[in-house]
Amino acid sequence: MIKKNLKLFYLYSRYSLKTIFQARMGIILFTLGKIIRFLFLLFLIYIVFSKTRLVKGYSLNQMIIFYLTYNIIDSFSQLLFREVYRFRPQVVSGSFDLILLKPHHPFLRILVGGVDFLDLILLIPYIFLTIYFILQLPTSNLQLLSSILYLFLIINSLLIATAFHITVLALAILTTEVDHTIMIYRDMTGLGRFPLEIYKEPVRGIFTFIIPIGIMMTFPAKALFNLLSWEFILLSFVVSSLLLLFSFQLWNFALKKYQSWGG
Amino acid sequence: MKKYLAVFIVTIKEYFVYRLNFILWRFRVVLNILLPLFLWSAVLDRNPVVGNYGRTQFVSYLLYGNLIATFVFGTRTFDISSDINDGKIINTLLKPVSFFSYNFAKEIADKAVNLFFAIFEIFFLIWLFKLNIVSPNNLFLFLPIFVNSILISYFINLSLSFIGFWTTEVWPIRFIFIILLSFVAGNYFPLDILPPTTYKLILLTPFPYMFYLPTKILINQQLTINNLFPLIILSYFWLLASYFLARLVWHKGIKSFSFWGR
Repeated sequence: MIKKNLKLFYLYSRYSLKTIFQARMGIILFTLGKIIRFLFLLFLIYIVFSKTRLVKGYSLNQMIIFYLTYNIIDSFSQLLFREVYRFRPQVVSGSFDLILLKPHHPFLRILVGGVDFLDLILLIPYIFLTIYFILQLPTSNLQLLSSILYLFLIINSLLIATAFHITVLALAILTTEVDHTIMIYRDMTGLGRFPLEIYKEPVRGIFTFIIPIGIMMTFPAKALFNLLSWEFILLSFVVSSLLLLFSFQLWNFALKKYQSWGG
Repeated sequence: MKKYLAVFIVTIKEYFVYRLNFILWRFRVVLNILLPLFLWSAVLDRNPVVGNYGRTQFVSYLLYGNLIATFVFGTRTFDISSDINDGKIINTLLKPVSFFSYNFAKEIADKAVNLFFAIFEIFFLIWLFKLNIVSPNNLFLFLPIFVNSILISYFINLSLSFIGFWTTEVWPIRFIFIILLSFVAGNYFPLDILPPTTYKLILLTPFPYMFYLPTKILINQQLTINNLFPLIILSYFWLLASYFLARLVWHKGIKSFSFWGR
């Protein structure tokens, strides 16, 4: 079963790669746009730190690591889940029927069936830059355990991202009125580019505990800096498991409500 | 004029067909202002003056800027490139209206609806986070510069949409434009806190005249016209340049346009 699914995933990824290469100009411009956005926000951090030495107790180096960690999680989830961005038109037109009829789980097509290789181009430099800036941290801050926790919490963040994307898929079936749910998700996660301590209440509380953007985007870097207690580390794993469970339940509920257009 | 008023009203009605969609769109806009607002507030907690801006002025810059951006950057020209690509533009061309004015009426409707909601959102943010802002200044100088910024944005967006006459890949080009706009126009901070050389280079581009200049005029309590004079001249220069560019691209594009089956 796993072998069959992996084969299908490979097949869909190949198709996706071929589709991307149909618009060569698009590849260059989109990649360029993403690089410009990344550099501008990095520049913003430098501008901020040219006016102050610390922001809410964080140094320049730590702020850059927060930002790079956000980029790794964001790019990795876009790399895997790009097809989610194209799902709603399939529901509206009724072509989702054709996917449901296929003898495999629909997630293979609608969740991970459109691997975006453009994000891979950027993910690799993000990872190298993160390693570089982590190595610049004072050696007293760097511990093996915190580095391992950092990696595990990034994986945990990807689970949260998976849950969010499944929720977006379910919402696309439940409310065909909203056409940019995925962009709302992107805007909300964008708040996690920097530590949530910069935000005042109630924003900070809402985006840490109700919509766990803080857990997803900032907890890995905090664990790396030894600023996260064991209770919060445990909480983040509990939250991701619960969110994943909730998203599956919501998906099953939405699927029962799905009405084809009969074409 | 009556025709364009009808286009304006119909466009506004369109928005209220998909109310939830529109409310969530506004929610996204509010989310996007939180990051610069709180990032700079955190800086101002430690350092009460950044550049020439105290906390109240800085926050005012970001909040008034958000209102201006809502009006200036809100656009319906996205539809034009897809209309060109799938041939629907023929429907508009056959109507007894000016193409530019027809689209401008739709554009103004989009901006008006967004501005209406943005005003409430800004008051909500001020109330929720107990923010202090300065009252608007220099309104007589602000208004013509504000109109300029709307027109510059409209003509540049039109030119980008007209690229659809030659290629279907308009969106990647627009993506780069939006990214440049969101940073170089001054959405994240007043541009004059940048190093002087970078600031002067940015002033040569059209971006600051769509956001930074009108916002700066609105919040500045001790405005000296001498300092602003070159920027006002450049604002008019970019207005004319963007207008002629849009006309040029339109005339070239419409000559090369062909479609079938309609």
